[in-house]
Amino acid sequence: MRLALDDVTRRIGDEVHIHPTDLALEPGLNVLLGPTTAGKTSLMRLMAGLDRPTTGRVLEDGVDVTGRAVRTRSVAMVYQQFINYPSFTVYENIASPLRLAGFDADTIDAKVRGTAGTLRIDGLLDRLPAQLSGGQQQRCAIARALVKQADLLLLDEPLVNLDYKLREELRAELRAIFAARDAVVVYATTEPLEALIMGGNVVVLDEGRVLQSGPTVEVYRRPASMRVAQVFSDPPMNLLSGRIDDGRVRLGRDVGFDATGHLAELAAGDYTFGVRAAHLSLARNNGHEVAVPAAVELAEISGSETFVHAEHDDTRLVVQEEGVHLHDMGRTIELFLDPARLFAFAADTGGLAAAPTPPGG
Amino acid sequence: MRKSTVGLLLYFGFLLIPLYWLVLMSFKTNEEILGGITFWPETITFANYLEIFTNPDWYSGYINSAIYVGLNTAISLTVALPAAYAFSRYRFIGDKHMFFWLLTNRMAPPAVFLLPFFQLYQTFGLFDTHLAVALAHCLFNVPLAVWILEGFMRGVPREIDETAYLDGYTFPHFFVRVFIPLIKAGIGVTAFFCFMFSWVELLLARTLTSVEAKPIAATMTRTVSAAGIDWGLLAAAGVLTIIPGALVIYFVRNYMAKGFALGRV
Amino acid sequence: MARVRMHELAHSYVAKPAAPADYALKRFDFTWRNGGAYALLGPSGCGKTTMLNLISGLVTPSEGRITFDDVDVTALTPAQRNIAQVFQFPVIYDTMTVADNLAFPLRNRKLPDAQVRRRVHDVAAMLELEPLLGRRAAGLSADQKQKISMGRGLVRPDVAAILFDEPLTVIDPHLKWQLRRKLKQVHQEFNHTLIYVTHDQNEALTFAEEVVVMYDGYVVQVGTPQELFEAPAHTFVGYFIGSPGMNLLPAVVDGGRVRVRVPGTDVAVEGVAPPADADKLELGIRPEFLEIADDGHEAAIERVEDLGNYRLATVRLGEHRLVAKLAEDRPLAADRCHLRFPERFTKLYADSRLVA
Repeated sequence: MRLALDDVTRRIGDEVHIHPTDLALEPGLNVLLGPTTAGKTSLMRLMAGLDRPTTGRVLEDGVDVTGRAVRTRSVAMVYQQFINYPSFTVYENIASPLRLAGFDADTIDAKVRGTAGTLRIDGLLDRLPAQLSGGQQQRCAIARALVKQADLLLLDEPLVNLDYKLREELRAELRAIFAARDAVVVYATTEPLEALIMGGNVVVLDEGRVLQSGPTVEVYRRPASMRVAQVFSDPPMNLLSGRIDDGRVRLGRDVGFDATGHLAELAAGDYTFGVRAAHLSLARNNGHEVAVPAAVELAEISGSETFVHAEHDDTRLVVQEEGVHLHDMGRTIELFLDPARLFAFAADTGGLAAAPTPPGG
Repeated sequence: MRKSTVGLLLYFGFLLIPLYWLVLMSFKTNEEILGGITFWPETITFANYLEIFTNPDWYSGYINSAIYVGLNTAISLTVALPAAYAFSRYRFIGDKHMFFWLLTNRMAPPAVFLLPFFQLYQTFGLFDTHLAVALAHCLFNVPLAVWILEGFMRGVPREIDETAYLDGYTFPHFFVRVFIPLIKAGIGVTAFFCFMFSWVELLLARTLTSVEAKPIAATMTRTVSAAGIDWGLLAAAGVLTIIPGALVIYFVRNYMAKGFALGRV
Repeated sequence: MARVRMHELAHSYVAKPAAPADYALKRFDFTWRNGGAYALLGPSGCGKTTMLNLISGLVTPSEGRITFDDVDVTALTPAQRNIAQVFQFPVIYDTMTVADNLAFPLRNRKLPDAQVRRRVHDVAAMLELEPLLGRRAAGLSADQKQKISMGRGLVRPDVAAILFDEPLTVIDPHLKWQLRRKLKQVHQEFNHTLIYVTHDQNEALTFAEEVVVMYDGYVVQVGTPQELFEAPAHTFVGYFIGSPGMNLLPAVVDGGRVRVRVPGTDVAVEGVAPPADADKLELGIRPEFLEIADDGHEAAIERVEDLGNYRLATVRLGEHRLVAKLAEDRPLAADRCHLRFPERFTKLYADSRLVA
């Protein structure tokens, strides 16, 4: 099946939740990426038919399904809260869509046990949802969504309420499960890393607008605008305003270097330059790098990486370091910036002016 | 610790004395009751209870009360369940106002409604039927039921409804199969309040009936015979009136705690 | 401020504990340094809440003693112990002004007015609450309210320790950063003993000088963030800290040396003496430290995930599966590669515990 949104909008009173949007989704994994309140849930509810668009149409394989009862459509959904029928056992929860579809008992039994096996809850079929851990409850909800083989499978931040280790585990499993499906899978998340791990296509959403869509890694490497670059970077991309004049790049007051490589073709004028935290470093790696003095504000440690927040010229910069390192607050350090890693955005529109060449390509 | 235990015991004693006295009287003869204070019957008699169970004037009162209370509880729940669902799930113009006006019915004493009901039921030929009393009580119980049930329903995430529709449930199927079991506690508590109101309400029940549907409370207030008041009999009738209420409370006591926790009731 | 010592402490919620499984907190000895910034990290159900309640005095230990600066406080109530606690949800008095909220714990202790004013002013300045001092607490945002909760703990000069119980749960993700920074500054300024309970490794590692990792009622490691990452003392720490977690390979002792059996090319571990009585030996190496090199043990590449700034390669060494983290610009052949295990970061675990 193909799902298309044709110029849909969603307003509640004076509040615009979704601005006019056109979107076509192919079978396979589509990640909806955006910060909280970007409109991910609103958009998914329109796709599912749980809400009716204020204007516009929803098409399945070219057939208008706007306003059709969800009951009659081939849609399944997983919420971020763990939604199961509390009075049904896990078995009955998973079996429920099949019973309604009128399958015979043997088929239901085989499908329920098969799907439960895939999600590794086959030992818990007699329990009630309340007797399960959070991770198991969400596995049950996912199993119920998978079992009916819907053409459209929507997952609204399904892992956000789980511990990060569980998240890691389930993410890998889900990716394998989706790969074996022929449905349009829509997976909403706020985390850039999760989008990259899930792969597939990405739709970047912000303030009720689709900013960019395309293959996930491609969008990551060539964000169409400053806003996409920020939404699709964790921590958000470092931004520095600067100028290009006579083949030289000037960042702020006291950092300057020759515009080479991808920056060489840019016309003179004002730009906002962006660099991802991972591409700043605390030690010099090559001769092209430019030193930027900064004062350490805080070192955030995520287990395998250290994020050093530092201030340069009233701008906060974040540097990602591999491994765990301690840094004293207030110390002055030098950050090294490789011009070959710089993104340039037009200062007025925020549109992408130049993107670094990805490694190896 | 000890002090609070003593206090609690005193409090319970204080609460139980009238009850004890009632039970005591029901096992005494009229002579003993009028003769002086005794804390234990000199001769235990079951005559009072026997009289109630064998005399149709008496036991029909209980049957009548039970019928209209049951009827009322059933009607109240049937009407209130969908209404409460609508209030808990949908926003519609004036929903908050309607909710408020529903509850205002309970601000007026039942006596206010006495005359209109009397007139209306006479006209429709409903006077002195069980349905008459049951319907009259609905005026008070339906708003209360809607209010209590709405509180419980609000606690059920809307996503459960949506998941059910996505799974392919029709609304009635979902409501009966999935939703009702989730608010069992609320239904229990609501039924209890409907029962209690209807069971103890005297004024409407007495005025809207004469013979066929005469409630037990009315029977009790009319037992002044030529020989004076039959205290023992009255006490026995009183004991029998308390028992159904006590039974209902016993069965819904756990639900009540949940109901209180949810902030309604 | 005080040094908090736990002597032979153990706690069970069962009346007569017999098996180790009956204990929510297994017997241990520990000293919380005066003025230290600690994090208590572990998954739900590991015993960290029990530990917190033992320190604050909400729970009396079933075995052992607790001393604050050598004074036995085992039987004292939370109020007598002089412990301040900041909870998940801000606990403040909505009807009072911010200043009154901050002054509340001091006025309760009948401090002179001038001193109260000075303390409130200092703490408000530290937490950047000064512009709000005259306002009523109702209507403030969650992070401001949580700052006031923290301020109420910090304002007391005599407090023995301040306990934080997942204090950033209700805070917006983009504001968490600021509060974390504030907390670190506060610690440098006031030098209180701070104990921060969380299940989030990020918060624990960022906040603490030393992290106490708990698992299944045991304290499995106490160490700096760097130690937890580079030398996990327990396989659980290796798994729990870091994403993805540590690679673990079953190992055997063969001819006095520890080896991981791989057909053709056994991986041998140098420099560690295998313990004689261990039931289970495992070799651990973090994905960050597993090197893909030009020579070494030959392995098959199963999958490579491009995660933007780095790649994760899942490789197969004999029957064992390992994950290696690669820089984005590191070239990689399509199907085979060579692995190297740097000695410094290859660890040996006997029955889940690190062999030094």
